Amino acid sequence: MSKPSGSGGQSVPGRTTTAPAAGQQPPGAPGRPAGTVAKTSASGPPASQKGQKGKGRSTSRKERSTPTKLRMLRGATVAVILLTSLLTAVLMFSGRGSMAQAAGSTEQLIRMHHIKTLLLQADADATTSFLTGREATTYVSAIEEASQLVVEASRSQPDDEEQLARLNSAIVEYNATTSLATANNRQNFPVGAAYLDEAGTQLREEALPVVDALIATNTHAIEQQARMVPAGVVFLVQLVPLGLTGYLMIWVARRFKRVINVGIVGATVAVVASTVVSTMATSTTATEVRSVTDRNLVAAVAIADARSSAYDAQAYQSLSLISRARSAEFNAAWQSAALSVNQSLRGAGEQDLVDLWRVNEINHRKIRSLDSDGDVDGAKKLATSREVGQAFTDFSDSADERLRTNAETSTTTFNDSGPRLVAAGITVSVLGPLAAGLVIWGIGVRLREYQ
Amino acid sequence: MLSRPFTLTFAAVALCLTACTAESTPATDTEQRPPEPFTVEEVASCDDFQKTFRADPKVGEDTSQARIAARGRIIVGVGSDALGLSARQNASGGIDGVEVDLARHIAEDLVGSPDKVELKVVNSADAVAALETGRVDMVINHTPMTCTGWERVAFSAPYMQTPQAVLQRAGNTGRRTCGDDVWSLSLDTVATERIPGRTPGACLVELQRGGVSRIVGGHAVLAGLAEQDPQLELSPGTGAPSVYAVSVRADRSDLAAYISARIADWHATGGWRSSIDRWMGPLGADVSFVKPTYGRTP
Repeated sequence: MSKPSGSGGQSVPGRTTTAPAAGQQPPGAPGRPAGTVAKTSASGPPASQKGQKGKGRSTSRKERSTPTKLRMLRGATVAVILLTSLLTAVLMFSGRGSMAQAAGSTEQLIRMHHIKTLLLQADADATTSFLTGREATTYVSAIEEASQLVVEASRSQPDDEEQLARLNSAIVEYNATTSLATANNRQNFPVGAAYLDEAGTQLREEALPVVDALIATNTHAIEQQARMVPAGVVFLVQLVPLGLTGYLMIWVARRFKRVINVGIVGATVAVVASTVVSTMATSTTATEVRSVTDRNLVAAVAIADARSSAYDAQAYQSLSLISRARSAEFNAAWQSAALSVNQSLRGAGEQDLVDLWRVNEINHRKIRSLDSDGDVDGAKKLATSREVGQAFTDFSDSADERLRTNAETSTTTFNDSGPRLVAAGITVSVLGPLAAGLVIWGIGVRLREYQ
Repeated sequence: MLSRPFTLTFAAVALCLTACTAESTPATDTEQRPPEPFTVEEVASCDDFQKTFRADPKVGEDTSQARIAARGRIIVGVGSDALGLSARQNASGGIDGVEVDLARHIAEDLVGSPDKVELKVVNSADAVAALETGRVDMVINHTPMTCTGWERVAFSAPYMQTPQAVLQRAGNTGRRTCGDDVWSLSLDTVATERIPGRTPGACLVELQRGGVSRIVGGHAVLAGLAEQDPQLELSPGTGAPSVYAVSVRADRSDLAAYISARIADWHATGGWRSSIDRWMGPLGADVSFVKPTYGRTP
């Protein structure tokens, strides 16, 4: 155990020395701290000296200041360590909550894109069935799956409930109109095509805007939640106890002969460990989250956009051959959707998908060429051929796989960062009180020397 | 050459539509006069709208029809949702009806085969643009002959006449009316709340969904709509009957005269009757052939 240092020597110039010199027996009871009684002061005047009473009282006040200061510093350091460790732990647990929310928002975002794709797939199938005169093969399953996803989305994100209810109504209405279109078409009533037109308009003007709004909401939420990993804040917060324990260590070392105070050093080590653990956990999470949002999530959203636009294009291709009066309008819509597919995929660097989509563009040009030459039947035959259908399926399946991979990477990263932040939060929660205890013990040792 | 009259017509129609919109606003003030029906006569104030160019069966050289014949096929703008007149058939995927039969008859004489017809679906609203840009050679899309129509296109002799009619549910008292400025000639005469600019099929959708109370138009068109919904009733309308003719570009009077000759021989050889019996008979459509009035000069 170190002993209080004597006056002069390593003391700060001008300072009133209160502790006995090393090896010197304190003038009071053994072990009594020098500063508590004026007589025990190595430099202080004896309490019996007359005529120096006033000066003695003044010196006495100064002599009591070291233990007081020690107590004050101990109290302040312990309070700061406990508060900052609590704050850091709260930030960690809150970061873990944000990551869980980001994972939820990502799943919701992908779900919304899937709903959009399913609706457009259903529409494309319904319109193509008008061309072939055969039953729509995937329409019913696509609508059913979309409806189930709406329910699932509502359970997952109650905040989206109101908009999802509107979406559900729009899907029901769209389905009813498409059913009317199909029923009329079966009876060879031309009004079936008008209902099909109407259904397409309902889908694009009522249902899809709700989906797009939810996509925007969840994208924004992910961006916000990804920023909630407080790497910089945690580091700055941890600097406060680190600085304070360092200051305490130096202060005590300068006032006492023994430079090393095991308790304070131990506390400093604990605070350093807490800083390293918390900063590492948050910065690693922040880096991973940034990487995943900048890369995988952006790619997933771009591919989902491209896939939706591709189904949109397919529906327009069929509509241009059904609603002949609006053929030019639907062809222009196809061009716009195809451009959107290319832009999304190129932006995400998905060259393989761009190549697969190009096959569909070439097929479309062949269909348009036949139509322009007056061979409407040939155009319809090609549009509904197995070759054209397979090219679209190849694109759609590949896009689906790439989308799933990127989406899973994103949600896995968000989910995996949770336990890391929790572990770091628990560590900080343990190290903080430990450091506080060590400070109390270390200072206590010094204070006992004055007793 | 066409731009000035076309602009004037457009302005007149725009003025008319503005007036109609204003008229159709429901009265909220009890002292406000009820809206005055906008009459066809105000849009088409002329007395010779049925008069066309004298029929000329010759193809000749350096004529519009000669250039079409040289191409080897005729391109005809038709509708796709007027059952009996020109409607897409689900089974065949093609478009059939009286108007398609007429197109095939013209093609048979002009290019040697009734199959050398390219049908392009055009809305009545897009018909003038389709003719002026050369996208189609002629439009056979139940377009009534009117004075305003003559300012934008040239008409052949008429191929069909049909009275005005109203299609609505039994006991309907609503006035919200669907139609089109072209195929619903009587729209302005009966409608105080009008929903113009729809195809017949789109109007039927509106009526079935309750968006409108009734549809007005030629009996031939509405009979096709009534066939698709047995709960609707077809009743006589008001105003002059619609007289449907083939329209061509305004400066192609030679082609209009040639088509008039083809319509005359189609009727004379029994083709017209046969087609009407086949397509209009099952619908119970009230249609008749009208004797052409010639004498218009280019």
